[in-house]
Amino acid sequence: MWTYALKRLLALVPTLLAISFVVFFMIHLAPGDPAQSILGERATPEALAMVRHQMGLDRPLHVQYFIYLGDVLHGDLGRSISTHEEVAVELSQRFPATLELALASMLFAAFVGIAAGIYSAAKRGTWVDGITMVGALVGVSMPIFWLGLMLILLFAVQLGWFPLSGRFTSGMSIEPITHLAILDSLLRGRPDVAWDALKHLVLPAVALGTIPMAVIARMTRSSVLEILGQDYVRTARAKGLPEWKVVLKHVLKNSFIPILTVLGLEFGSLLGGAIITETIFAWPGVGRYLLLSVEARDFRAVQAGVMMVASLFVMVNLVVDLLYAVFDPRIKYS
Amino acid sequence: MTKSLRLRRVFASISLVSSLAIKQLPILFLISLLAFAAGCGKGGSKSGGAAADGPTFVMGRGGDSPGLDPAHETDGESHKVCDNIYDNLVQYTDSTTEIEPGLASRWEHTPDNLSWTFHLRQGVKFHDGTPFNADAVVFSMARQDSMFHNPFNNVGGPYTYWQSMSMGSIIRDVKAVDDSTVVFTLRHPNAPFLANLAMNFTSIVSPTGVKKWGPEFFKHPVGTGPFKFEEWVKDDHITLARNEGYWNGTPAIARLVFRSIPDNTVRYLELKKGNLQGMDGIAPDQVQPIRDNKDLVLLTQAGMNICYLAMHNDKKPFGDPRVRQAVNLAIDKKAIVETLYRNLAVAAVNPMPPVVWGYNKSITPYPFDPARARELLKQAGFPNGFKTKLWAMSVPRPYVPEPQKVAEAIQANLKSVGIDAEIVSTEWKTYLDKTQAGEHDMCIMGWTGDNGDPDNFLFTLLDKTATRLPAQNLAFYRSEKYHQIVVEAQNESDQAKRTALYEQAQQVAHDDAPWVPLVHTSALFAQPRNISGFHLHPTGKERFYRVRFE
Amino acid sequence: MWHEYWKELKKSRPAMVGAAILFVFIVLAFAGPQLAPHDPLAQNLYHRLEKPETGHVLGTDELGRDILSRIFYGARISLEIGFVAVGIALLAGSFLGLIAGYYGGMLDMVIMRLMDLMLAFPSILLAIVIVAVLGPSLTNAMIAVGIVVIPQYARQVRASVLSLREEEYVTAARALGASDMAILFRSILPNAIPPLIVRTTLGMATAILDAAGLSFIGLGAQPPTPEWGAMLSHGREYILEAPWVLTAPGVAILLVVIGFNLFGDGLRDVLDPRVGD
Repeated sequence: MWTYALKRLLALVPTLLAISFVVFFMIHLAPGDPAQSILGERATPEALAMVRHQMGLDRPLHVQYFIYLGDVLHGDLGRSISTHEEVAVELSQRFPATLELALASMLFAAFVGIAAGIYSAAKRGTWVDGITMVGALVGVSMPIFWLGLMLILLFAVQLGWFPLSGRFTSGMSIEPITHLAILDSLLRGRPDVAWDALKHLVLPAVALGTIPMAVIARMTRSSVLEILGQDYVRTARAKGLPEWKVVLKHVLKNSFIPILTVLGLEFGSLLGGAIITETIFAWPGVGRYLLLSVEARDFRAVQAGVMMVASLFVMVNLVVDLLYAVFDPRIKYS
Repeated sequence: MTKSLRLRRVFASISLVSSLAIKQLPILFLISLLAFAAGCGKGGSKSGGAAADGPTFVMGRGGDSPGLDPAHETDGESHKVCDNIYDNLVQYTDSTTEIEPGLASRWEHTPDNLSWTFHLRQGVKFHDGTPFNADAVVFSMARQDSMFHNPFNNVGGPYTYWQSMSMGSIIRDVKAVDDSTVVFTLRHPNAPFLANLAMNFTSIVSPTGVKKWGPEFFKHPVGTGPFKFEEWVKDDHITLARNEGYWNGTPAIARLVFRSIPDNTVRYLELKKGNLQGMDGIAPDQVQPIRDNKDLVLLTQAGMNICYLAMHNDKKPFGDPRVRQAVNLAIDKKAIVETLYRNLAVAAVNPMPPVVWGYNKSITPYPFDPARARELLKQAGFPNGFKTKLWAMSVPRPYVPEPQKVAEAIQANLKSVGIDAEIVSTEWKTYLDKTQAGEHDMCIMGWTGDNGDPDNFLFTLLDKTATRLPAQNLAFYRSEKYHQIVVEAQNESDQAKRTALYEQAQQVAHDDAPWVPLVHTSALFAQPRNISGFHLHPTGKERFYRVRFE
Repeated sequence: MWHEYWKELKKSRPAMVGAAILFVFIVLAFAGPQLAPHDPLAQNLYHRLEKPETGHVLGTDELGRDILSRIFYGARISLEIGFVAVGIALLAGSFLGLIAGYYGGMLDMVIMRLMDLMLAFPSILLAIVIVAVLGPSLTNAMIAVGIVVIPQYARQVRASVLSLREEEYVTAARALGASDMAILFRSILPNAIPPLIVRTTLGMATAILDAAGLSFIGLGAQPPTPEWGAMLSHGREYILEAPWVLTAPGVAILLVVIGFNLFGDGLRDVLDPRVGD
């Protein structure tokens, strides 16, 4: 199993290389360049030439690419063209915010989705089942920015249960260690800040987690229904085991594989939702950063960001594949 | 408060233990959450940062600052933070573009206008303790141009404004005569030079700070201004703390926080909830609700900008001045100002805004007269109009918050005189690229003034030398007569004579009509009623040092 | 065969609800311009943001345009988005999947590695970069949304081909000397179609949502196009003062996407009884 994992990770290297190549040339295919984006209305020929020169943009493309590649191999991702900051620093500050959001939304999606799916399956055909499934259907069918705004209006403005936007209440912040707000606050001995950060996390996590939640609920329901009809479950029931034990012991365990698949796949598509969620909720994450970087033609930032997200995607799916073997002993990797 | 203090102590000890036993973190986490849920209920937490005697002012805006080194930054979001960290030798008064003493308490120049001596304020210190003196002034200028051979010329990226304001071709030398006297020597007399020294890029930076941080200075800014840099969480907030003993008066607020909230609606909701003490980037449609809100005040300021419709004079029908005048007559600026700008702009008459001196008030604007426009088109040989392309950017710019809607309104106006304009829309970078290459027939564009000099509008945007690609003169207007006037005005040092020349240039531009000058927008700022002491500035500077809570 | 599927499908209530929604939607897409009471582009700046009432059943938007008319016209655009985006993915994906699965070897390797590469690329970012290269417009948004899902179709078709390649009737055709193309398009493709129909139907829903997302970040439909996603995202500024401006397009998107999802689920139960992934 470990050699399998290692092989998969090694296969990541050529993938990343290819990605960096594709991103570099696609960004350069796009019209406009960073120098122009900075100078804007003031782009006189002299100023453009000077700025391009100072940014190293006046060299031939392939030379720029190989210089970049050389730097990357030395562990230097370069400085962002639009913000002067090292791309590695930019990403390391923003990625934890997105990770925190993504984990919270997956937790929400998994718990609520699985619970709703099981409950719905157990009450198959009743009005509870109907409502849950219609709810799940609406969840997958709603544009995420609409949902986000509705959540803000209802829970932040009308009811005042949660803060509107941001990661902390203004004036409250914590000196970062990991840049994970809740963890850092606890490590610094500030549970009040952690509580504040947690409250800020709820609405964006729900907005981002709704689609995966709905997918998981539907998936859980159908796989639980399938397993409930299987012989060994009937046997277990016939033996007089209480219904909840049957569900927990046999059904849940066996319905985990398809759920796991969904988790892996949805995690990959989270970034798309993250760009929108981060914009609505003023969440300082990597999704919005990448969007702005594409707009600024900041190819170093885009390349590094895409490579990072791609690695993460591959690794999450590797973990998912490895977990298959844990939940189903019939699956073996060699 | 005492309860939460006590609890905080309890949890401080718990988390001390927790750092020893990381494995139990999740459990401790749950416990602390439960305890707090029970202990404080909702909203029970208070800021526990370092002691701050005085209120915190939170300002909401659409995006983060790329950096805080005033010489490198080119965007408004960076400048508005720098405005509060740094000072200049001279500065604009609180609400006009007139120049007043800043770090230089007085100055004089030789009769030939070539040598300018600045006498510096005594006893001023940078936030890092470095004394402010003539060397700091020389350093702040010299690092921006390679001709001075300053070792920091290659550090931190391009000095874009120094380039685009042509400082290298204006200044011959900057020398420290003694600790408190600096002399600038110019290559030729240049009227706008003094105003350039009030712009962000000529702010005085701490030489010690630049030497210490090198390329990282942009996130460790050190100036002499009313606020010192304290903290920056990218894309979230920048916190500044007041500079005790600031030479121009210690600010009343203890902290100034700039929060980035990209979505307009959400930012407005935060203001309404009382979480912000100020907000810019207000959409025209938010104006009425803000005005109707008893707790909020809307500040407006006529801006130093223009939004215009350039007609490419080299492209087929627009070579004929009658066609260009017809377009001027066909567009209902009043409706655009009233509906799309919600009266937060004034209809433009000339290619420069009235807040800049030298504005020609005697020009009669083209009226909205579609019948006359059709007549002119008929005379020009287009009785049935023609087809053309109208370019509009897809992103808001300071002078046109809703470019698409403006384009649609113009499109409808043109349609009524028979001109069939197809809207071509691209995002900003592509848009600049293609319009500056002259690919458009007509395009919506604009300009925000730099230093408050008419030259910065009339020469920069309409002189024939500005048609060189990438062009600034998007009308590709090549009048020889106009060229001679604006160049003469550049070399003239007497302001009264310059005024006369610029008024003449505006008349020529009015008759030739290379553009439809559309509007000059006003800057908007919303704040709660209990805040005072903040003025919007024509240049867009946002200085908060006189702000107070009532 | 198709008749049987339909009989089966008719038994599913959700699928029929979906079919009904889609029927209305398609009618609107074709007859919308005839049904619309006003010109969807006609502005009346003095009648901005008017409440829904007689004259304007769904109210007017920020430029005084009739929202109902814009919704009617928008139906065709949404249908177009679905068809163009899914069409691109379906054609390119099936072609790549077919030849990769049928020929195998080096060709298969190259194609599938390329597909893996695209899969590892965060799809929204790929779409954003594609739009950055092509320029923001509705057409380019459709193309981008289509391109990013190509790998899903390619993988599915390839899997079908692999399992069908060794079926008896295919070996029989091969023994009879049929050409590769004939085998691919006459024997294999028709049998790979049922699961593809399911994916296509559900893909329409995703495409409409993705295009709306691109509109939100300013890279989708450009004004004055009455595309629902663009209407919804431009309308969000008026959420407090004139909520009807964004409610109408929001509900329209929601209903159509629900329609495609319900119908697609129903089709899956009938055509592709395995639990889908």
